[in-house]
Amino acid sequence: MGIATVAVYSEADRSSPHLYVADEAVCVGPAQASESYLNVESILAAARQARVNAIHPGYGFLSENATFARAVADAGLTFIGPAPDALSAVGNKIVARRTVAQLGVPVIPALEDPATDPETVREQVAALGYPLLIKAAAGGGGKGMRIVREEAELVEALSAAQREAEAAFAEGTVYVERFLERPHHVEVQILGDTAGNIVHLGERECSIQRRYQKIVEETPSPAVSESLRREMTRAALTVARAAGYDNAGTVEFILDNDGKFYFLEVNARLQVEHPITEWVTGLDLVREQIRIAAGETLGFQQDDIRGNGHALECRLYAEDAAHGFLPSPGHVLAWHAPQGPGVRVDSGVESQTEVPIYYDPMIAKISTWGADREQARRRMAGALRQTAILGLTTNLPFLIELMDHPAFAAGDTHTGFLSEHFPNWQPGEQPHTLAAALAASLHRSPQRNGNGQASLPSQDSSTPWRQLGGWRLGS
Amino acid sequence: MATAWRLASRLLIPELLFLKRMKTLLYAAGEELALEYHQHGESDDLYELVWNGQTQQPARVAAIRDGTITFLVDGHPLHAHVVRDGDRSLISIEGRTYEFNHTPPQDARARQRGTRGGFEPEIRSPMPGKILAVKVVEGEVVEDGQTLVLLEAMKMENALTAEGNARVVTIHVADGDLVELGQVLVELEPVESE
Repeated sequence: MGIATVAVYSEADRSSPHLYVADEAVCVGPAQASESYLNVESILAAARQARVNAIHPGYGFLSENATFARAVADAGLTFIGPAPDALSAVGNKIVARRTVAQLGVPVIPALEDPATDPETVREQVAALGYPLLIKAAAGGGGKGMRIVREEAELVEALSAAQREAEAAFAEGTVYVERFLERPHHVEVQILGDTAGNIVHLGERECSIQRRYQKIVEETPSPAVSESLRREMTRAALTVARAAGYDNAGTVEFILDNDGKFYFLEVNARLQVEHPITEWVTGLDLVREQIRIAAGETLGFQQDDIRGNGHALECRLYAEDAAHGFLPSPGHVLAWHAPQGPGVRVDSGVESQTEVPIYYDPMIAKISTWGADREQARRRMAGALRQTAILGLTTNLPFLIELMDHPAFAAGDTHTGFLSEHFPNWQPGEQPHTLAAALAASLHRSPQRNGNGQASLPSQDSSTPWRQLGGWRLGS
Repeated sequence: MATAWRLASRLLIPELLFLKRMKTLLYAAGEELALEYHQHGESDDLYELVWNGQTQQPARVAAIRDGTITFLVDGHPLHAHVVRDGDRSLISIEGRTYEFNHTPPQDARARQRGTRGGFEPEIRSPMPGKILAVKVVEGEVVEDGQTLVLLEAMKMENALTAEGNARVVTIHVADGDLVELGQVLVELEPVESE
């Protein structure tokens, strides 16, 4: 687009590759997000220092924060996202729920305004029945979220959710809703300009989750028929229009097994999984966001948008899938990204970079396109096998088994998929131990080789140093 | 030796040198593994392999570049991404990670484990992170499942709990401390229940 870019980073992200793809990079403070990425004053100071015209808030941290959006506008800059009023209208999940219910869009039974005292909450939720889901009013991405299966777990879950919400969004308010079993998580991408034109870009299926956080997304959803798609996208547009929504946003729904859907929330920002929508629509959502923020009109209508083929995204996380998906930050010794027809990689790591303990463990997004779902799935299975990341534990082997699983291949996805098909997952057989051993033996760094004798038993007469005459270079 | 290195660097593959015949010992999960390989008679890049005394299918080394070795085993290509980190080599093949050490492990610590029928006297950090709160004091008697420490990493909160009734002997951390993977946070001693 010919627009120069300025990246911001915290002291913990000094080695992060995003710094080097921007035209300029500015440090916004220490590692703790509250003092850097969540610090409105720091971000604005960086914006003034670099003399920017507009701020793209990304998809975490302050991206859905109306106070931040207003502060950006007050500073005379453009916030690349919805207008602050629309952000407030949909950003608070409790308010959004009430507004949406008034529009005739179904919502899940919930306690919108729990008391601060946990004992009172216990009485308040009795009518909803268990299981329950506690959610942060201000947030998304599973932060501040807890599932409560029985009353005894309620009090501890409430305070943990409040602490997590406070840490992640600087806003500890939570609410409680009825938890549906084995539903689909389906969301509709919307895009609107400031002149009031608004379109949807189809739906995404995001049911494969752990800790209520997405791992795999795809579009179109295998669970959505053409008629259901018409209903859901119409509901999404109703919600967006009522909120006076502009720019990119996502209306999330829960879809039960009877084809009934319930409004969940509006994500008033770009979603992590935007690449799959870009694959099938051919639109660049970030580019559209910038155009809209610059006051341009959409330039296309609903009928111009045709979903072509099928796209899948897998999120690569620095976490240990064999041990409760515990985060596994650390130093990346080597990173090799997959490539090939229909393969896209959006990554936040490079060889010799740090994955710090302070932020979300997502380190890369691998997406694939296919003429149909099966082709996209096979391409993903191949792309994941091409990927290499060494030095820290990731969910890569887990993703590979997930792609190969017959239930996934059949499109039978729901939010309980992992607990149903992968309870207590352990990595399967390591089929290439011999090749790995040969690789370990053949590979020597020159520095290491200088004292490499230590790695070989002294009685071994065939150490490299005694056989120089026999050395040959492999071809 | 210097001559060999000069030759190697001129060919832009300084980290790889092949022997006609070689035996290495590798260590994985405390086990010693012996790998013998030698180049097959008529072809320089075909390796015959003996793995722990068993003759294996030969592997052809097809290409080597930047820490990536491509093998052909029975005509099937395998890409191995290799990195050396101190004493260990990490290898990724088809999305799975393999790890070998080049010297024998000092496994005294490993043998100490499990001496008391599964009771774990040392509560270690399961990941690098920050101590959110220490919920117990030294000398306190805790019950099975009681939360000892709240640990936060990547915005996720984790409760570390006692496995079995125990007395808190030593607490090594305080609120706000940054801890490493495997660091001992709390030491316990078992308390017999009647």
